[in-house]
Amino acid sequence: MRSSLVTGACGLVLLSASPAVAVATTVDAAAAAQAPDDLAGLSIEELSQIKVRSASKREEPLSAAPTALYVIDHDMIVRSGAVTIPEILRLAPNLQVYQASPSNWIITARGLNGLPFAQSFSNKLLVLVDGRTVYTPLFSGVYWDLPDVLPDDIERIEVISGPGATLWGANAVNGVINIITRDAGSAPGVYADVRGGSTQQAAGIRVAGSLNDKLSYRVYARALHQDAAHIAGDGSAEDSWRRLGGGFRLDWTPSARDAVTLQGDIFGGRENLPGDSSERISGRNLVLRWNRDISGDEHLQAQAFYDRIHRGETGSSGSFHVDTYDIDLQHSFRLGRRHQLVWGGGARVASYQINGSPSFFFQPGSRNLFLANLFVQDTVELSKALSVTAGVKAEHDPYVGFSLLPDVRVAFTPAKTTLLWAAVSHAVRSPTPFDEDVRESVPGVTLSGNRNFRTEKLTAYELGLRVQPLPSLSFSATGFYHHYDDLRSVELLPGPGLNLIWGNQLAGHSYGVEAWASFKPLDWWTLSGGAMLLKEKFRFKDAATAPFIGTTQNGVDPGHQFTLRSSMDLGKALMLDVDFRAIGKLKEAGIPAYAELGGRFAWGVSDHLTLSLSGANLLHRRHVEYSGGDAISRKVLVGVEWRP
Amino acid sequence: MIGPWRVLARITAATAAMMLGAPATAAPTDTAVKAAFLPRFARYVTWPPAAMPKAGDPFVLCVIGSDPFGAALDDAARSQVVDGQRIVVRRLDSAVGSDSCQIAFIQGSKVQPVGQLIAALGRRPVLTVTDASIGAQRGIVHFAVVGGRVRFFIDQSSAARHGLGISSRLLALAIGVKQ
Repeated sequence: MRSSLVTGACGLVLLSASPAVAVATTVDAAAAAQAPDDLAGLSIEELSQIKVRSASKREEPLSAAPTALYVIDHDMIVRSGAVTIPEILRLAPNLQVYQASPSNWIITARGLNGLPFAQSFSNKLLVLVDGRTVYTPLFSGVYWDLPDVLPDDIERIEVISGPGATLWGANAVNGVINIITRDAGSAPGVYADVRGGSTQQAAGIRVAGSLNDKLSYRVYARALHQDAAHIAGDGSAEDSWRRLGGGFRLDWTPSARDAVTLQGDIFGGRENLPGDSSERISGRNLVLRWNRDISGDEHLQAQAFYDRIHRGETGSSGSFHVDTYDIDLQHSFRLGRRHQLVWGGGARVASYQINGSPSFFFQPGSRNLFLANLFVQDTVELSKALSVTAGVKAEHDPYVGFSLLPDVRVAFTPAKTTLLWAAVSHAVRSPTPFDEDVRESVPGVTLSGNRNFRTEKLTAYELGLRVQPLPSLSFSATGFYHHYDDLRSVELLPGPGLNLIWGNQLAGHSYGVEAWASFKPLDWWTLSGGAMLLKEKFRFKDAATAPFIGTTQNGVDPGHQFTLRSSMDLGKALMLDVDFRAIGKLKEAGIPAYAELGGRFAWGVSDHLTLSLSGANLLHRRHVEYSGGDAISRKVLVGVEWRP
Repeated sequence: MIGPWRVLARITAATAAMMLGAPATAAPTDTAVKAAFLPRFARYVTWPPAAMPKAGDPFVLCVIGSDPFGAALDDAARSQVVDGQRIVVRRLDSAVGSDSCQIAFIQGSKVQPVGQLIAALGRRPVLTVTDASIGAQRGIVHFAVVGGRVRFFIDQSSAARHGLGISSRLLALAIGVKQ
C-alpha cells in the first residue's frame, strides 16, 4: 500500500484504558453566567420566553485537575466555524496541528510531529471519541480522516498535554484528546447544517428526541467533500476526497442510579490519489457503556466497544483492515475521609490483516494483538488545600510484555481561584507492527521492522499554575521537562547496500511552556490567547549506526506557536469570531514560519435559522504547513444552520 | 496579497460600524436564565410544613457539585422573597449537608455524578433540578433549551414521592409532565 498505510498517518492510540473518568473534575468556578438585571423583574412566564444565547457551561473553567488540561467547549466549536475534528483541534493552544493535505492532518502535543522522509509519523497521542479509542494499532497513529462527528453534537473536547499514562494507557505519552458528545436528549428536534465554499462542502442532519422520560435518541448523517489542494509549486495535488457517514446514540436511564448509552457510527469514503488511483476508506463501530451509582460515594463504569476500519487503494497497491474489541471496567469509591480511589482494568483484541504490495508489506501480514491493563489511583486530601494523587498502571502488550506506568501529582489550592500543581510521570509508547514487522523497499534501499524493538520511554516533570483572579479573567501556565529514552531511530544493517532497520538509539529531552488566558472585558466580548514555547535536544546513543539520518527524525517542531481569538456578540443576533495563529518555522524541514487568520460571522435570522460566513487561512492564497505537505488554500464558506 | 487584505479591511470596517451601533445588551446566556428560574421555583412548589425553614430562617437553594452559575445565582436569589423569607444559596460538594436544602440544582461532578446525588437525596422533600445539557439523569425539574429558550420537563410523580406539590402555573410552562 505504497506507504499509504503510514503516509496518511498522524496521532496515535493503541492502548488506552479508562477514558471517561480520567479527566477529573472541572470546577466551573465563577465562570459563566452574568445575570443581567433585567431578568430580575420578569415573571416565570416571561423568563420561559426569553431568547438565550447557548453559552457553554464552562466559558473558562478553572479545573481542579492537576494536569495541563484545556477544554474546548460546544460554544467555541460552533462559533469557530470549524467543519472537521482536526480544524476544531486548532482551538487548543496546547496542541500543534498541521494540515498536510485535504485529508491528512498531523496533530501532536509538545512536539515530535514526525518526519515523513524518515518514515516517522506523529504517534504519541491518545485520542478518544466517547470512550472509543480512535487509532490504528498498526503504527500507533491516528488517521484523522476516519473519525467524524457533527460539530454541533460535541459537548466538549478535553485536551491534555503531557503524559496521562496511568489512567489512560500506554500511548498517552505526549497528550490525550478526549472528544465527548452531547447526551442524546439535549437538543430535541431537527438540526440541519449546510456549509459550502470553494474548497470544502459539508452537509449534516440530526434528528433527536425522547421516546419517554427515560430513553432519548439521536440519529445523524453527514456528507463531507474537500477539493484537491495544490502541490508546492503549482498544479493540483489531485487529492480531493469525500466521505458519507451516519450514526445514532441512545441514552437510557432505567433508574436513578443507572445510565446506559448505546451508540454507533458507520461511514465510507473515497480519496483521490495522483494519477488514476484512489483510496477507499470505511469503518463502523458500536459502543455500549453503563454507569452505575452504587452508593453516594461509589461509582462503577463498564464499557465495551467494537470498531472496524478499512483502507485500501485501487489496484494491487495494498489494503488493510483492523477489527478491535475492547472491554473496560472502572470502579471509584471513597476510603475513609481522605482517600478517593479509582481502580480498573481493560482488555482489548485488535485483529488486523494487511495485504501489502511487493515494496511495502508486513511479515506477518495478519495477527491478533491482545492487550490488557490494570490500574489503581489514590487521591489523598492531606489538608483542605493540599492533595496528592498517586497511581500506577500495569500494562501488557504482545511485544514487550509488562510495562509499569507510575504517576504522582500534587495539587495545592491556597484559594478557590488559584491552583498550583506539580507532577512526575512515566509513560511509554509500546511497539506496533510497524516497528516490528514492516518490510519496505525502494530501489537500493530497504527498511525492516525490528523484532527487538523496545518501548519508547518518557519521564515527564511538570509544574503548573492556574488562576482566576476575576470572574472575567483566567490564566493557565505549565512548564514541562520531558526526558525521552529509546526513541525510535533508523539504523544501518551491516553488509553491502543501504539496508535499514528500526532501532531505539535516540534519547534526549525537550522543555517548554504552554500558557493560555481568557479575558471577558465586556458582556459581549471575549478575548483569549495561547502560547507554546518548545526546545528540543536529542542525541544518538552509543550503539547508533546511522547518525547521518539526523536527530530530528522523530519530528521537526516549531520553537513557538501563538494564538489569539476574539469572540463578539454584536447585539442579539450577530456574532463575530476572529482567530489568528502564528507558527514558528520547521527549520530542518524547510517550512518557513507563517501567520494565518480565520473566523466566522453569523447572523441569527430567527430562533431557528442562522446564516454564516466563515473562513480559514485567509492571509495567504496558499501556504505549506508540513514537511512534504500540500500548499493549503484559503477557505471561505457560506453556511446555513437550522436549530430546533 | 491585495485581495484578502481588501476583504479584511471591509470586514473590519463593518465590524467597527456594528460595534458602535451595537446595543451592549446581548441576549442573556442560557445559564443566566436558568439562574433566574431557580429561586422563582420556590413560589410554585409546596413543601411539607416540616421541610420548610423555621420562622426567621432563610429559604435554602443548594447547588450540589460543580457550580455553573457563580454570582448570577446569588443575585437572582437576592431578588426573590418567598412568604416573607429571603433565599440564600449554598454550594455543596456532595449530598452531605443537603438536609437544609429546599431546592437543589444538581450538576454533579466526576467524583459524585448527578445520578448518584439524586439517589443520595432519596425521597427527601427537596425539589431536585437537573439540566439536559449536563446529562440524561433527571430530577423533578429538568432544564432543556428548546427553540432558543430555556424550558423544562417536570416529573410530577417524583415530586409526589418527595412530598412536594407543584402549581399548575409551573406545570403549564413545562415541555412535558410525567404524571
